[in-house]
Amino acid sequence: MVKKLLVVDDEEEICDFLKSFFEDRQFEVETAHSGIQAIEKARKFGPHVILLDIQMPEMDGLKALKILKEENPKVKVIMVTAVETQEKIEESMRLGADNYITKPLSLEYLENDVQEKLKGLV
Amino acid sequence: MSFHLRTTQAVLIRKAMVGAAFFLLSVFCLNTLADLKLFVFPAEIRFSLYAIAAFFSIAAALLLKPADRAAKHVLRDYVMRRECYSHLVLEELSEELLSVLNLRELANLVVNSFAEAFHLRTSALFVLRNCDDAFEAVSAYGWSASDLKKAKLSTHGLLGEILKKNGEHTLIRNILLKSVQWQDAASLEDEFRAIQGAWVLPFLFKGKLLGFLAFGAESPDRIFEQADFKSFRKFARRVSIALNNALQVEYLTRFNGELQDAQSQRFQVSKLKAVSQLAEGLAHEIHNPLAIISGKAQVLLFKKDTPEWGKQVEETLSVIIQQSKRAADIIRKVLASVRESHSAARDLEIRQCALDAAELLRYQAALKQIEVIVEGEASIRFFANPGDMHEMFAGLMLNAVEMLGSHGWVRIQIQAVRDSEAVEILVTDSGPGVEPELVEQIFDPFFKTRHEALGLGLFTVKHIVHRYGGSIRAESRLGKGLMFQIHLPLKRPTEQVMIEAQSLNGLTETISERK
Repeated sequence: MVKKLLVVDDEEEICDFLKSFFEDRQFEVETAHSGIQAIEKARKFGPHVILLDIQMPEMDGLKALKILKEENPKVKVIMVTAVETQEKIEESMRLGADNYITKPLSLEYLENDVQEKLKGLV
Repeated sequence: MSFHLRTTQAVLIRKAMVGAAFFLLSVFCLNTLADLKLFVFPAEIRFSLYAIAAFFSIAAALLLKPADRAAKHVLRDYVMRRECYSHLVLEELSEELLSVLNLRELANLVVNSFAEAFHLRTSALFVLRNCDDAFEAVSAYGWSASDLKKAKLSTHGLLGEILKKNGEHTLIRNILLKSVQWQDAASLEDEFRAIQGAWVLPFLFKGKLLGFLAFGAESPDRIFEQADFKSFRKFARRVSIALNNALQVEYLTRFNGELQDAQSQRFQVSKLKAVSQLAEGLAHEIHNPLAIISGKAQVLLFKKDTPEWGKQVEETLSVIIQQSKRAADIIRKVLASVRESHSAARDLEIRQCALDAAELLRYQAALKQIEVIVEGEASIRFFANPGDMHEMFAGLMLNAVEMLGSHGWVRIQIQAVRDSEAVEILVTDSGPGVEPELVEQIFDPFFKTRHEALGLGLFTVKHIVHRYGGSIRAESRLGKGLMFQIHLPLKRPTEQVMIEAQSLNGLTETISERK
């Protein structure tokens, strides 16, 4: 079965390299650049794992996280963000985020984490 | 002339005067009787009759109380009315008091002069304190320093209650003790002991009890008379005015101190908040290009020894160069947003600053079909750094132009604020405005509604306005655009001076009102 990943970040370059990295590892990858786009894409695409940025225009990652988890509680969401403040970590964990990774990313660590979240799902 | 009705000398003189009056009266009577031939007595006993009259006159003067009292009244009310030394001292003192605005100084002057004028062993001034809960001694004469520190009288005690109802009359311990029940008398006596006085002169200002003067220690060391109490009341009225002024000055000084503390504290907090906001935003902005650089490099590294490697190296490197430049740009802009201009400030025509800024934007605005309108009186001048003013106006206009997208107008209105040395700048646009809940955040560093923006424009504007002692406020009228209201003081007195000026104004009002 195909592993589906949705990458949400307002930086296109970040989406791009994550997309190419995971596609090389036999993932099917979609990208979105805002919270609203992410919700639309998630509905259509039905990803197993979502990599979600927090600070984005239109709708930020925390609001998007809440809706994404409400619509599909089974989806695994990994928060990927630039700033790590205790409140944001607590807030995202409270809203059901499955992990929290800060930029700049170690792609190796990220891949291991995504693979781990996929265990039992795919 | 210093003269006293109760010194030994005065009493002797008074008695002598009474005796002389009696003697003259009896001599006159005897002579009248002789002249009228009603009673004829031989010349040889006339002398002994005079002697008898003299003896009785002396006896009457010494022993006859009503005669003495009458003489005293005549002397006090008609002959020596202005010459009573103590009363004169009080009157002079009450004139002097009005110029004393320091509470402690005032209290010292009152207690010392009062005690000296009436030859008292003790006197103490109490003032209502602790949110009207107790009277506290401010200054005392003839007390030990430790007594002064702990001397207090509750307003809820018996004496406190009596004082509240009593009005401006002097309370006399012995009379008061006799007028209450014996249970109350005991506690009342304790209270009199605590304030070390047998007499209590209340100070009322516009019906409000401000404090009182307690004098005469434990044993009454002298007896006062009706005229004294009358002069006490007159004195108390003057002291009350001075006391009220001094209390107000003390309150204002304390209030100012607290205000300044709070202000500097608030300033520190807001400064810290701005710094942490800036740092947080900077971290976020820098992390993105770093994430791209490191991500791209990692992806490339994973592709080592694959056919794609050679093709991707060039693309990855150009992205890395571009993102490093972006990071450097962000840092430069952040520094520019908070730096203070070092060029000299000068007298500027504020409307011209706005026009200059508009001119630079004209081309960019024209491309988007946006009209930039500057309105205002040319006469308003402002002492500032031209670079700051340019940056402020340009920041506001750019924000509006970017919010508008295309088609519309930005209006800058400059007007003097009536009755105050300030200028108000209104910036309105025909744009979409922002959500009301976001209005609070639009001045935050790195707050942005578009991805491309860095979000420092309005932060910089706010920074400049605050540096000139002004205030800025934003109002979003959804669908009708944003409105910014800037208030800039034309002259910038320091906060310290402003507060002092305000309190002084209040004070002179108080004093002139009292007079």
